[in-house]
Amino acid sequence: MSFFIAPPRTRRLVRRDIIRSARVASCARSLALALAFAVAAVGLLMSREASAYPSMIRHGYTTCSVCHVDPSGAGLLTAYGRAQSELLLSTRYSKRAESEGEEASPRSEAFFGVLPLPEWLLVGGWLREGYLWNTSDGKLVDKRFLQMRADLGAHVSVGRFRANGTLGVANGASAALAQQAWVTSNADKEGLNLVSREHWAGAEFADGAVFVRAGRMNLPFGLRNIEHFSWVRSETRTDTNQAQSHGLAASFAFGQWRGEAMALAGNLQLNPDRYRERGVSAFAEYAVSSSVAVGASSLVTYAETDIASKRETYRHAHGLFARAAAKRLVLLAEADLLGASTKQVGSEVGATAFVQADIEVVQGVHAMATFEALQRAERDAKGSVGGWLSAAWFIYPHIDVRGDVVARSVLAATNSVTTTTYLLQLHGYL
Amino acid sequence: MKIGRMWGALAVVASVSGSAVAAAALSGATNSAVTFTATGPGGLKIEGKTPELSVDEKDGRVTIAVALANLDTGIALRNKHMRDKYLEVAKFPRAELVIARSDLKLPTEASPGAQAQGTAPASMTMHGTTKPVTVTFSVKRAAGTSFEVEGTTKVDMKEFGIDVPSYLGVTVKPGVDIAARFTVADR
Repeated sequence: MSFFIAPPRTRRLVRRDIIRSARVASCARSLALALAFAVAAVGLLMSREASAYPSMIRHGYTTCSVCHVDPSGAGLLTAYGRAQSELLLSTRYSKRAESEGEEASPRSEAFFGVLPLPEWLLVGGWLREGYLWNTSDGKLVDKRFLQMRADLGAHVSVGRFRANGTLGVANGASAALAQQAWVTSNADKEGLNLVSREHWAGAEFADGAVFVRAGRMNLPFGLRNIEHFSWVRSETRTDTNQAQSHGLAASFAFGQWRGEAMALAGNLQLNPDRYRERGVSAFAEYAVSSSVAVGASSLVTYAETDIASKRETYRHAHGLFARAAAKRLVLLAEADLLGASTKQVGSEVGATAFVQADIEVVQGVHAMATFEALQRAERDAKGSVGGWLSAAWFIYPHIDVRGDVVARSVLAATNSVTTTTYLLQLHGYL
Repeated sequence: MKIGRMWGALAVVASVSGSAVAAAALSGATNSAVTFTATGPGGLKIEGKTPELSVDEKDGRVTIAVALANLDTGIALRNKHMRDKYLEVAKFPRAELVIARSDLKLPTEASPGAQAQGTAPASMTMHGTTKPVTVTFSVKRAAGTSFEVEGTTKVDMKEFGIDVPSYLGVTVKPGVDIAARFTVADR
């Protein structure tokens, strides 16, 4: 990769010249247009997102902030969320527990209840390890262990004020999927780096219905699904793995409505400054009922040098998403228009879509089938399609295993490649 | 909703005509659905549902009763907390809404599909406490002497001596929306 992570002392914005001002003004006009589009789209659709497990809508949870400290979902769990993880997400091995409403056990608490904590402090830890096999046109081209996540997190609340942060380590082998969250810059392929995916502080207003925060946060966009390399996440650059940005965000939850808008100051852990995407990202979601929610998202960014194309780029993503539950079945869907505008190539438009059916066979055991499609916003790009078959078992509170088979047909200008990825994961949440 | 609908049906029956009202009485209830909706922080919405609703009229007063023992919020532990800790269903098994038939409005037209709507004062008994409430209802004439009723009202659980539910730092608001729909006969 041609970008790198600078030492902390150089991690600040430095370019503030006239050219930048003109670009910012131009960007601001684009952002204003995008915002207008987003507002209009939301208004037209009367639309309402999702957490890392947006399928929790099967239990009537259309919003995320009761269980997660991030109002738009994913990340550190609240005490309530920890309990629901045991009561609703994990397999319960006693019929009495499932049918008669047995209380959550201490093992659902932080560090399995071994470490009592005051109410104002939430802590958690993530350890996700995996093994990956990749084939291309039927030939094994890659197999390796993946250290996917090894983070600790903490959240402090004092009155209306809240602060949250995570800190972890990532090894060199996982650089491609963690480098944008590095806070150190050990370029050694075998070396370790510190990562901080989230760190933010903010304040609640309107009895908790509005939350304003600043820092490094997940981008508010689309389904906050855990499949971070699904095209709707990777192509919009809105995954919860490393695609966070620094900025200022405001979230709300009023009645059936929920949403968040964020002004992106760029990922300040990405250097040099010219690679940082600045702009705005937002979503709004409307809960039609306790089992159906629909929403719209919009994102517009500007980077002096796009990390992929290496060109000065305005990047767009605008789309719709929905969740619906019927007993043990949950359907998740998202479709996004992708846009990229560069001086060299002009404007290109693409699209991506994602549909997932998640059946909870018995409590804690999930079978999932996913279809996805992609047309990149690149000249001469051809369409690609993919299919996933997945199974996950939430064995015990905060311990789960998952297996995925992902087949993708990636069509290039002159040829096409069929890839199949087999991935096994073990995840523990402390 | 069910309660409101019942009230609405009652009102409809009462308003058909003075003599008719005196001669007929609302009773029974079919196609019933009652939903109690509480909200909490961060957009939390909890719905408790039950189909167990009955309507009875006596001495010009219509009583809509909802059995609470099988009220279902979709989560077993939450049901247990609601029934045992907050509603104390073993001691107070029913919620009752009583409304004067004379306060009800029914469709004046005899043809099926004719509609009427309105608001009416009523009294709600829940958790051993009776408080006045206002019911908003709509009534649609079905076949024969049957009416399809929908109604809503709102209560403050604190006024009924019910502890405001709180679990692991999540506390719901004391206001609860009640909605009912049912089909009732005026015989």
